[in-house]
Amino acid sequence: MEIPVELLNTIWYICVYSLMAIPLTLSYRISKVLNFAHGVYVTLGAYTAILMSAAFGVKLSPFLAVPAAFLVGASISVLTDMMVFSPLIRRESNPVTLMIASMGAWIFIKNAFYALVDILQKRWMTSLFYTSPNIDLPAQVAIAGVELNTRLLFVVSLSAISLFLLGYFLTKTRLGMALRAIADNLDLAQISGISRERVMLITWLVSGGLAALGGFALSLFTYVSPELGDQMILQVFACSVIGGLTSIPLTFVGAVIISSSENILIVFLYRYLGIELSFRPFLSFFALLSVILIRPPAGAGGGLPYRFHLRGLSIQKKSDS
Amino acid sequence: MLTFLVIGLVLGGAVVYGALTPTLGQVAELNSKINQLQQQVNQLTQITEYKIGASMPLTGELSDIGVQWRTVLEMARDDLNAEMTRYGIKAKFTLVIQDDKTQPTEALKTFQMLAQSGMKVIIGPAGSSQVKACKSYVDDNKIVLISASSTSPTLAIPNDYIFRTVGSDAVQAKALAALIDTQGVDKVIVFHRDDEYGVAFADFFGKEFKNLGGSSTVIKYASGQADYASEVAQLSSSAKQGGVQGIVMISFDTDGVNIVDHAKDDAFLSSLKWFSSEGVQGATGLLTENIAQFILKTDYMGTRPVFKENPLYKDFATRYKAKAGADAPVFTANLYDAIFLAGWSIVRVGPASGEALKSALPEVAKKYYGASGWCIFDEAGDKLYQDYSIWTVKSVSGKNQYVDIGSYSGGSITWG
Repeated sequence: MEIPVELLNTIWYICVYSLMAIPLTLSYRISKVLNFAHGVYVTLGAYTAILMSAAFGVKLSPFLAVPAAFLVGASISVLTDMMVFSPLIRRESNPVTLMIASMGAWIFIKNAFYALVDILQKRWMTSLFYTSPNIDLPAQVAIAGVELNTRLLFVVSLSAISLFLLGYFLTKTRLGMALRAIADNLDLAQISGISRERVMLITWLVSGGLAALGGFALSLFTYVSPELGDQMILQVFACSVIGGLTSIPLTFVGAVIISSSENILIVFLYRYLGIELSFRPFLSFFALLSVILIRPPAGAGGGLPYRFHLRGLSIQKKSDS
Repeated sequence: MLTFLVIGLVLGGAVVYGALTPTLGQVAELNSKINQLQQQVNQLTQITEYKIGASMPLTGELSDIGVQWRTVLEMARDDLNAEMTRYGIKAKFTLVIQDDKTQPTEALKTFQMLAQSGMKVIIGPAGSSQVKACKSYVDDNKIVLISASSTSPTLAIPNDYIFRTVGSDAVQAKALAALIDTQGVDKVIVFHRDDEYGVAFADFFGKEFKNLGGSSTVIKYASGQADYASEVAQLSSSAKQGGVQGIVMISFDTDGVNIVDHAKDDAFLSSLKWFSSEGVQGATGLLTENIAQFILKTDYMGTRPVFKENPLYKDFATRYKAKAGADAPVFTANLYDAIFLAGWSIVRVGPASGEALKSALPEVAKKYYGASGWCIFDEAGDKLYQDYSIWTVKSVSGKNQYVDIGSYSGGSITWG
């Protein structure tokens, strides 16, 4: 039985976009910082396995590549917070200032990484500007008579486990509940003794690490370049905006919508309406604009529209204040 | 007595002064002449530094090849300066290389910045879309643009400030059509990037292939994407429905590698013959084992501009490989010669006038035989004599490499 390749591509991208967009939603929900440096964590995650396998000249085990990518993304994210966001927050900077600062961090880290890749490429005499990691995974595996791509299975498992662990962390652990408390009501949470700094540290650690896993997952599917994060940022923001920049379940729905539009809807438009394939990038932009106009996210319509809620998909709308 | 002494001293001083004044004047005049001569000697012995600008795709879609081109620029600069020293010309060239990110808007910004720094001749940009974006600016401000890799026939315009040390794709389209015809393929899909280069090439190819009795349909894709899995899926579907025998890919290096990487996982696309232009030649991604297997399976072949039987090219390619550790990718010889043409034009007329440089460049090119062969320009400022090689990827001594397996010259293909 052959699974249509459009469906397989859609599944790939649901996993990838979820891993990239959900941490963006999480970080905004808790820190109120619209972090433009988020794309860089994606790039760094993609390149961790690439640089490790190139440095040691070996096929890397995916079970080593995953924690390594997570650690790199998490570390850079925490460093960015310590050096950029936290000092500004202590000075009571407004969200616009924080957003601009995140752009500065994005440009700085991106160009520093470019310089590093350039140096390593010359030193190792190997192409690093457009490449994929050397991962020790067989090409295919047969399950119930169906030949399946091992990398796809791995990425689906990685996404499912990561998102399950995130959900468990946020709903079943004290620290996770503290994160949600800070997100819902900062002042009350602090009065209750929850340390804002500690919560922010954990938030950036988790969001940077998960975004890096998203980059690693994409590198198993396609060649990547140091511009990967920039190329993906529109789609990632589109997914988060569909989630209102606050709801993790709806961000997942956003990932499904964007992925389906890029892989299934475009085929429909091409085959039956004669619309060129070169129209594909426009679909994400169209989805983003439509959501902003119809259902403005996170405060633009007068207050946070959705309560952060993981049980089922029930969403409670907060009363307007 | 004392009075007479004083009077005598005064009178004597006056006489001496009067006698010496013309001599002092002559001395002053002599000193002035000596200074002038010294300045002239200094000018003759002083080395004048000239700057040549370069707008290169060090990041973006052509970055895989762009960083290799940077090595070529450095080689060309060093060789040009060595030539100046050899001939006793008191000139030294430095390159100001800027990254234009393979984007038209960035290329224009780069050109503006380099021009504002006083440069009247700039090498690059690489892509035809980028050259088009810079055209108005260079024509209005009299800046000579020399691109070594822009090939779109739509930019073959006479009397402008754009020169290209590579032949237009109008001829390469003929070469590619002839190649596909020799393979017994008469129905293809042209899968091309939706930009100045891809659209023009597809258009010219379609006409040439039709002249040979073939038929082609066109699918275009948006360039600059992170991934083309969706487009490749649709290509496969269209190819099945259309009953085509081959795919003609018109791409740059990164998108080309991405497309081929996805195509190798598609059983139907792997059963067709694949052809491409020069855009993907030189990309390291095509040399990986998985993709090399696909290339073998699909008899993948492409065309690229080259001047065959050129000992200067062989010397250049050997020295490039020694410096860079890899074979010279496409357009490197053209780029190398572009630096020499720019340098010798500056020596001839000076760096200050774009108009003078524009007049000097074709004259210099008429007599210049370089790594890319004769650099004579046609009336549109494009390379007049351009041959094409047929390339593929093969395993040589256990290592996948780009190899030339034939050539196209004077309307026919020669194998070997």
